[in-house]
Amino acid sequence: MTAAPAIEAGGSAAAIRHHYDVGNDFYSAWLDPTMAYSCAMWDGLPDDAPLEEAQHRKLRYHSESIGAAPGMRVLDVGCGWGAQMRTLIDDFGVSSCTGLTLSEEQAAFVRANNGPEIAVESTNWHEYSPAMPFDGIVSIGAFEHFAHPEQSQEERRALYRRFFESCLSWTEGRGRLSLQTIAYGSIDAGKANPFITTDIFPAAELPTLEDIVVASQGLYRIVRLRDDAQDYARTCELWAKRLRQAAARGEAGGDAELIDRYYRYLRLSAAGFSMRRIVLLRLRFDPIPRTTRPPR
Amino acid sequence: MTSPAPGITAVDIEKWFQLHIASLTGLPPEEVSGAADFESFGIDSVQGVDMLVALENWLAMPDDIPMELLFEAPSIAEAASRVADCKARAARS
Repeated sequence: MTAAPAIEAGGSAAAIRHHYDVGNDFYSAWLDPTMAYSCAMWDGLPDDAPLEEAQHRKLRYHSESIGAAPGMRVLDVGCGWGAQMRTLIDDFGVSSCTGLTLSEEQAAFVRANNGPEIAVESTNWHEYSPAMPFDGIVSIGAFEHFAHPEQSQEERRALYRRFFESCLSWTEGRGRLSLQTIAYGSIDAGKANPFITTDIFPAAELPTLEDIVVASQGLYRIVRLRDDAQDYARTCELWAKRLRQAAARGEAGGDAELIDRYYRYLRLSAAGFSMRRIVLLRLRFDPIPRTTRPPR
Repeated sequence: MTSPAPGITAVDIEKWFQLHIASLTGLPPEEVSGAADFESFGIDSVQGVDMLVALENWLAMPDDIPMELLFEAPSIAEAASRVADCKARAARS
């Protein structure tokens, strides 16, 4: 998730780095040991299950969603610190993963903590061209970065469509895609609450579910859709608590302004999800075979 | 702000909101009506979260008041009542 400044189409490196390159040590102070910086999943777990367990649940969910199996090659668009790729390899026997991230710190972390089965590239997805096709794609918490508020709805949807077309081409039209993204919920419904509106996501432009449906139409079938906003509210609450506790122990670094900013941001985000002004979508896409795809 | 007495009530919390909002807006505290909602004072989200954190610190219950509990309340008095319930639950657990 992000409160990144204005980003160019596809998410500029500068915007991503602004948010994510504040230091791996800072994030590791309050993220769980998987370093997953995206919504966890309590489905099938008790409400008070620890964050780490719920993050593993989420990582397994996306692995199952793409039908992860031994021998597969998987692409992770927006790989963060690599937790999803590790799960795919360790728990599902996937033979290799490639992660894309624009954060140099994340890329360095992934390289330092993994073997040759995991490759990481500091490349924007819209410039990416793999040497070999993949069997499946996972993308968690990256879609939020793709568009910016200056774009029209039409431009945003065209950009999203380009992403879905790219996914199809990276898998030669055969692989599934498991996508997790924040989306606008009731932001347009009823009167705006000034507490929880633009301050959460000041510049990145979130998609709506409708944007995603329209942009993927004819390319992918949406075969599963979940809205787990409550999971994200809980995740943000737990992160906020962990951040405050780490700061109290002097383990979150010495930048009090940074700690304060993130703490507020996490508390605000938790409320935004609880009030469903923003929601958390998890979607499984199955490619529509080329032969049955309608002409464009 | 002073530390709360153990027997803090919804009325005390409402009073705290009124003083806090008065200091943010420059209004005299008596003009901050408990019947009004937070939105009517034009408090933005950052001021809102700061208010929440200050309240949690005052009540010695960090991280324990969900922000939406304040913002979805129809009035300051109702928010105070919900916070008092929240505090009572936290004390029992």
